[in-house]
Amino acid sequence: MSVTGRTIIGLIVGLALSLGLGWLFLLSGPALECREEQPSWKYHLGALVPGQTAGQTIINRGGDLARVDVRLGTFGWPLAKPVRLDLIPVDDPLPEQRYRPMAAGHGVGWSFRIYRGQPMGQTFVAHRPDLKGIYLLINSTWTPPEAVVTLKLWQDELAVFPGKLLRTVKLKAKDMVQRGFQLFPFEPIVDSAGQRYLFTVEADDIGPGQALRAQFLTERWQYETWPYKRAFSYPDGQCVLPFSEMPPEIYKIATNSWLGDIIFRLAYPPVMPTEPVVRSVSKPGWRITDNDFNAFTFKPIPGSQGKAYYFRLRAEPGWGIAPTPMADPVDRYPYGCLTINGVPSHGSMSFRTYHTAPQEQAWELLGKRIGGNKPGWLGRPKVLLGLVVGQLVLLGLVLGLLLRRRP
Amino acid sequence: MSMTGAGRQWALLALLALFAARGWIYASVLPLNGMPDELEHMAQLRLVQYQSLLDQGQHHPSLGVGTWDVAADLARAFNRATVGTPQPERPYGVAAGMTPHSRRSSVYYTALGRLLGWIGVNDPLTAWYACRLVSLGMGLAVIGLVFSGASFLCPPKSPVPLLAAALAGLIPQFAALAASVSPENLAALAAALFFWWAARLLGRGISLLNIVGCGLALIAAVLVKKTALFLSPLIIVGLAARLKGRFFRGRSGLFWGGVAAASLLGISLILFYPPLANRVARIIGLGFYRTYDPRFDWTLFGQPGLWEIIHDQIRLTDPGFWFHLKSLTVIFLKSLWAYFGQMEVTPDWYWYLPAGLVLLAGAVGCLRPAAGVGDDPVGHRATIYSALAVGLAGGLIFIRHVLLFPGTLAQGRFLFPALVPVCFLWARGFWRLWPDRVRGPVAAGAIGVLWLSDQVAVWGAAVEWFYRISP
Repeated sequence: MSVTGRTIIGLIVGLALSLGLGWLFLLSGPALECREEQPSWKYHLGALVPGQTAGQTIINRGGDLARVDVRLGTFGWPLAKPVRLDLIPVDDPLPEQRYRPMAAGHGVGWSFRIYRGQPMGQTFVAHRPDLKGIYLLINSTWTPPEAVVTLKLWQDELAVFPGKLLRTVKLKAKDMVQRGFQLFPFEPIVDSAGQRYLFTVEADDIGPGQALRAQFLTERWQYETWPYKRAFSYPDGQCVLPFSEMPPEIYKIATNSWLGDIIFRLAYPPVMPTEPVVRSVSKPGWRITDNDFNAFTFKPIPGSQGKAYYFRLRAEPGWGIAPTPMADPVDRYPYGCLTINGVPSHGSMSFRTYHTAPQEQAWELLGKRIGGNKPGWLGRPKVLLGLVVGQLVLLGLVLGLLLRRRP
Repeated sequence: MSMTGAGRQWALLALLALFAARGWIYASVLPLNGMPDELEHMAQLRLVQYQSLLDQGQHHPSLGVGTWDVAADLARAFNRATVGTPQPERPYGVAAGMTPHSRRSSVYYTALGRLLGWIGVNDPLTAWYACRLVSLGMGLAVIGLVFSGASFLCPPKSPVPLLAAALAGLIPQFAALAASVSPENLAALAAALFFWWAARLLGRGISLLNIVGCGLALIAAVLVKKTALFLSPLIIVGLAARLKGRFFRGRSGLFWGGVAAASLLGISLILFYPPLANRVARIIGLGFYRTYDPRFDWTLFGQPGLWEIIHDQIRLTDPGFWFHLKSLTVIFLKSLWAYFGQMEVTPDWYWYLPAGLVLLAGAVGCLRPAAGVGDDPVGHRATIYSALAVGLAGGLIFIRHVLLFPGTLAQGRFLFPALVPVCFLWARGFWRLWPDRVRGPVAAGAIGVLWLSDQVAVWGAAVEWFYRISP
């Protein structure tokens, strides 16, 4: 056969292979987009030995939920026990509400120092009943271990300021996290749903050089060179700063162009699932990849947008090592909680959720994401497509020349 | 089976164009900081670009006057470019550890930084992608050197050089690294140049040009990256092999005893004498913090030095040592093929199998006894030297990560300076493994498999991870 003939055959074979691969990857099912994720911090929970389960409540903010990826560890062993993921709806009437405001962007604007004569506060609205604590993002590196920090919860009333004192929490610095979210727990307030509150944080015996630092965000960045993303302000309240010459009263500050909100979270009892399992998927042990996100794909759940779900992992009988889900011991995912053997626990599991998206929309979105913000022709979808087709032609030429017979 | 000279040239051009196309795709798909430490490398060469301004106390209109301003400018561009993507790479790493330092110099930073300054590219995003494309050019040059170097060592119509270039051009990790900002690209190019001269010397015989070229290439490689000193034993072995007939023939047992004693003394000094151990560690570019242990005893043949480190780290009866070695080996092999991002983006493990089998076939072919060495003495000698080079490079990597930096990963990209011997070894072994009548189709199939594995890596792993869309 001539060189041309061989080259043409090579091209046809290459094209057929690529189309087959393309079908496998591109066209064999609905497009899926990831909207919700909690990155991994490479901390291993207990192994999923028989009888052990680990789970996480999540919220699906995209289309029909169709896949959950969970980061699993097998400590380098090539074979793991099969893992089953059960998906259970959570009867949560307020899944979209930001009942735990989170830190926006990837950094903070200001670090406010709490020391003697320097209290601070924040007003907020509780959207749920049984408010039982407040998390603050703090840094207590320089705070003396025996120093006491006091959080007070006040009813926020328009006519009287401050309103009625509801709760007082005292914590010693040595009992706090050094860096991260620190919970100030108190007796649950049963009728907290829809109520406005003010919390204040103060310290009686901490000097300026020993300040407890709390983080808060600004609406607008004062310095344009600051390399962090812009923040958003909490819509249901504002930061309240004292006038230091008039302790202990606290005055509201109406508007201030550079003030924003203290980074905080509210603690409520977790809403646990009560409905039956709607999807159950098993992943064979040989397909579990160590230290990576493992996909559990299932039939899309219609009408699941905006709803809360609980996924539960358990290992099934089989050869191999029991995998361990990877998680962060600190509460980082604000819309749900980690569970171990069905019991709520501190921490956040590492996961991603994918929802369905129309194929055209997915391709358009992918094209925008790859192509956006790049100079020149880099990342242009048509250029990339042309390069893929061009590779086939070039590969055909190489193979054709290689197969050309010569004595 | 053979190829014409023109056929080989056209095939090489097609391969280079294929690599360029793949590299363009990787440069487009990999987000900024999508390969290890890319942001830090970019900050360093931007510092070079603006150093003269900073030294004069001046500033570019968009910058301030400090190294922090170089970093902040880059961080702003990084954040601007990553708006809309699901998760910027290492968001917390953008500011931390990114401020460049004047003391941290490299030929790569100097060359590209000055090039940017000379062309006048001030926009950080344009500068970033321009550097990526320049690095891609270095990758293209490496492939050309692989082909040309193998050509010196093979018969004129042999397809082995083409196979070697095909392997170099189809390794996903090599293409991804070439499409990112990294001094590893220049190190790979410098080492490839050394191997090219060494192949020329081996294939065309000893001449002043070849010797001088080899020497200058070695010096250039070491200037670019100190760890290229692993190449120097090759010079010594090559010289000794060449001169054995003239210099070593007929020597007495006393002579050889003296050589052995001198070698033993040298090794003992390196192992037991800390000042020399420190020098050796520093010369080969490794961190020497382990050898600055205050427990060290300065007595010759005493306790401290590298011997203590070996005793600490090589624990043959400890299962943890073997587990660590196994993990290092697996990560090394995976990252030699495809391991993107900050060592976190990989295809599923079974997608490594097809390429792994193809590469294993080449290794098996190398082990086949040489039938009729006299028929291809150059190729036979080149196989031995290539195996030595790969062994030295791999040995240095594992020594570093098992002994001196036990908490770090042995990454496959550290082997890319030895890409010329790796690819030659594989190509020659693969070609010799099969009967003549099926060599061509099997080799073509192998190239097809390698290309498909690359497509899985970029579209199935990289795109899905970085853009969170599974089409």
